Amino acid sequence: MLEKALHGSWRYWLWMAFLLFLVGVGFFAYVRQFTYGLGLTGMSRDVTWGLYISQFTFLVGVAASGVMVAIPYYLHDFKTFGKIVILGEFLAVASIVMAVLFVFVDLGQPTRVLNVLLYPTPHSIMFWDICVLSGYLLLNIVIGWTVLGAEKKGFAPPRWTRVLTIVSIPWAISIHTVTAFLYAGIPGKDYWLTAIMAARFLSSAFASGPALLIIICLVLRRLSSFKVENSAVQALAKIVLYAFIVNVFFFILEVFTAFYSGVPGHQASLLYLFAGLDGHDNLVFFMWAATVLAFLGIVLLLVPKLRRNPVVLPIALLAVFAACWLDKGLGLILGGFVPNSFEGVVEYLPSANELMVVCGVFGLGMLIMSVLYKIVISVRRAHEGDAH
Amino acid sequence: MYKGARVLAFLLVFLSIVTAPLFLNWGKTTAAPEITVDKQAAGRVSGQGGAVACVEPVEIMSSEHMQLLGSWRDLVVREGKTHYVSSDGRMFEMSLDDSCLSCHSNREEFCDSCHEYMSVEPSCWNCHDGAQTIGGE
Amino acid sequence: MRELSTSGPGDTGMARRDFVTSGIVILAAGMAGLGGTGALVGCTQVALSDKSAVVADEAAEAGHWGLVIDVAKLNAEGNFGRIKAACHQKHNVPLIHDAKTEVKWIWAESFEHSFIDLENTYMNKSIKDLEFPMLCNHCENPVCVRVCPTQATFQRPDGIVDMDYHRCIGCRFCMTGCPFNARSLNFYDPRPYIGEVDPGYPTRTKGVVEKCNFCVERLKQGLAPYCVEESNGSFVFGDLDDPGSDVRKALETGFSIRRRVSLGTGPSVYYLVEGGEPDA
Repeated sequence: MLEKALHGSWRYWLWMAFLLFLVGVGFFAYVRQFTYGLGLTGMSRDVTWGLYISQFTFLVGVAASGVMVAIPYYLHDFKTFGKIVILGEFLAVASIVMAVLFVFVDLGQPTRVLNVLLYPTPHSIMFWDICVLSGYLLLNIVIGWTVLGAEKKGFAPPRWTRVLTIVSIPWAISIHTVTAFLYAGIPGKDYWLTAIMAARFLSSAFASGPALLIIICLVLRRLSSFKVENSAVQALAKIVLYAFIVNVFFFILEVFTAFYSGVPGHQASLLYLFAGLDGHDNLVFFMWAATVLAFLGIVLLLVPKLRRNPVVLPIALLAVFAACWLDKGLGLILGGFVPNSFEGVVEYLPSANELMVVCGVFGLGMLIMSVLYKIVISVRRAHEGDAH
Repeated sequence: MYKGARVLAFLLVFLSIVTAPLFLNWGKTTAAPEITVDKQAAGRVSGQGGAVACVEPVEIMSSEHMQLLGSWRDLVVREGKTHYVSSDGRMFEMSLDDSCLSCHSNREEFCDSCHEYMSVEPSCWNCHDGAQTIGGE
Repeated sequence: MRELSTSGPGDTGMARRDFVTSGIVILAAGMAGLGGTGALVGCTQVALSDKSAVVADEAAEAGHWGLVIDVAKLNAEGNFGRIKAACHQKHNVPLIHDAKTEVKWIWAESFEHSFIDLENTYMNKSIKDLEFPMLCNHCENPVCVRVCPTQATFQRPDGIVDMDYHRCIGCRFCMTGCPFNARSLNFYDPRPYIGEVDPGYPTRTKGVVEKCNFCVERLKQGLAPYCVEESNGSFVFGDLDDPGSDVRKALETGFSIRRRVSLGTGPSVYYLVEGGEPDA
């Protein structure tokens, strides 16, 4: 089936060339970082994780969000999602690859990465995270590829793929729960030490992932022969809406606990993020932007007339996606490091080299996604051609 | 054959890239380096005139010094052990810097020449034998 | 157990001593370690004796090592600079003048920064102005050990939280987990930042995390840590499990505090803020 990715329009090849360029830039930057060390990033003794790990965290959420399509389709026989369920699975594949790569480029001694498997350490959440992530990657590749292969030949997919799909649903929940546990179990990082961290992660993922999936479907509808039905888009948009409202609700719960209790440790990170601390306010603009986007997104999705408007819908979804990214892909990780254990504020600014590596990883992820989607669309088109 | 010419052409390109190191180094085989022991240093360590015998027999050391050093590393760092009893009952401090390199003080001839010949780059020297590395600067 | 000594033995060349004939107790035969390694790499088993690895008799041992710092005495002596220099020089800690990427094992902070949950608006100026040495707390329940995915940082039976620089993958989870900011990553090759390498301790390589190790390499020789040796009595080191030990006696003399106790990590470093010398 892979050969289907080798035939395309000039637009397709231009897009692939652009992604390959991004990969090249990222690779070049990574070689520099590999040679010199993590000193080439903006991270520090105090902010020990930066954009790499925050992107990892966000992307695990995008990967997990495939279940928001899979649950209605596989468990409730909601046929409307039939066409896009495989897109969710392949989006998960690309996201996991990116997530794992982000962890890899974050390592100070990348050549020793296999030590994680050589010395399995059950008391480390990182060990479990790597286990569930690789399992989830495998599940989605196998399911997606087999189902698509069957579709190509015009057969129903083998029965065992259904078993795997059922397995993959709790598995998806587990990958993001375990990722939340990376943070939620650390004493002394008050912003992360919250029992609803995993719940927040999941609600944010179930909003941002499907929002991205709809946007991709809408783009594909314009550019390719893949025509997603409006009913599927609208059903998924409602899922985005409710998940996002829950996500915002959870965030307000955190704000209430911090400020009504008045416990300084719980307030400090929120203050830093929304008002600045000791004159440090790098993230204030982004957090307020996220707040505005969040409420804009909710209003636009909540009013049926607006949600059904083909111009407004993408704007609403982009607003939700951006708000989720700013909250989880930026503020959550960076805010957790402020203040440090001496009540000092050390801010983090990604270096140019670091941003290039980030671009490279995103480029590779989008490349994988484009290849997989290209195959899906080609298989479907060939099939539809036969049918006529 | 479906697009046979193209398949063959790319196969040829692939094979020539994969086998390039072989052809580039054809006929350039060099003799293995002579390993020399710094007799003076070894004698100094033994406390007598003659050189002290190594921890284990030479054949074992030359083929398995990496395993020995790897186990020393774990025993010292992780288990807090300090000394190694060799198969003939002698006791050595388990230390690359203080035991091995005090005898084999000629690192360039003893260690590096062979490693270079074998194309291996042990990372030991990134941290150990600081005197030699820094001294060069 | 041997008493800790603060001066170096005349002869540290233990490799030259015949431990077997001098009838030293072999504490443990580490065959498991050797056998395991051999099996792992699938090589022919080295013909190693089954005595293989032992601990030198000089080594100092304890149920749980701890450190008590008499802060008033330390500040009166004014020798913290010397303590820090000894620690950093002997352990080849690079001198990096960049607060974001510096490496440090021991350093000083003010009371309000070190005891963030104990700071009062109005408090005794003499305490407020004291310098408090910061270092790894060698916690009873170390977060760093819990989160490390490779056991590169681990807790020894004697309570010391040690680092295996060979195994560290540089993921910095331990740094994120440590509530005391006691850990440093080598953001780049540290060697150019070391004035003169002390051959007594290895340097580190880029990408690994490091921190105070309570001088395990000194304890092995029955010697007290460098900070204790340099402190002129303001640092007291010993076995917290032993009621007769120096540390426990020091803790009897006055009021002591530990950092961020409410987090439950159980620091093994105590700060004596009021009290006299153990003997006074």
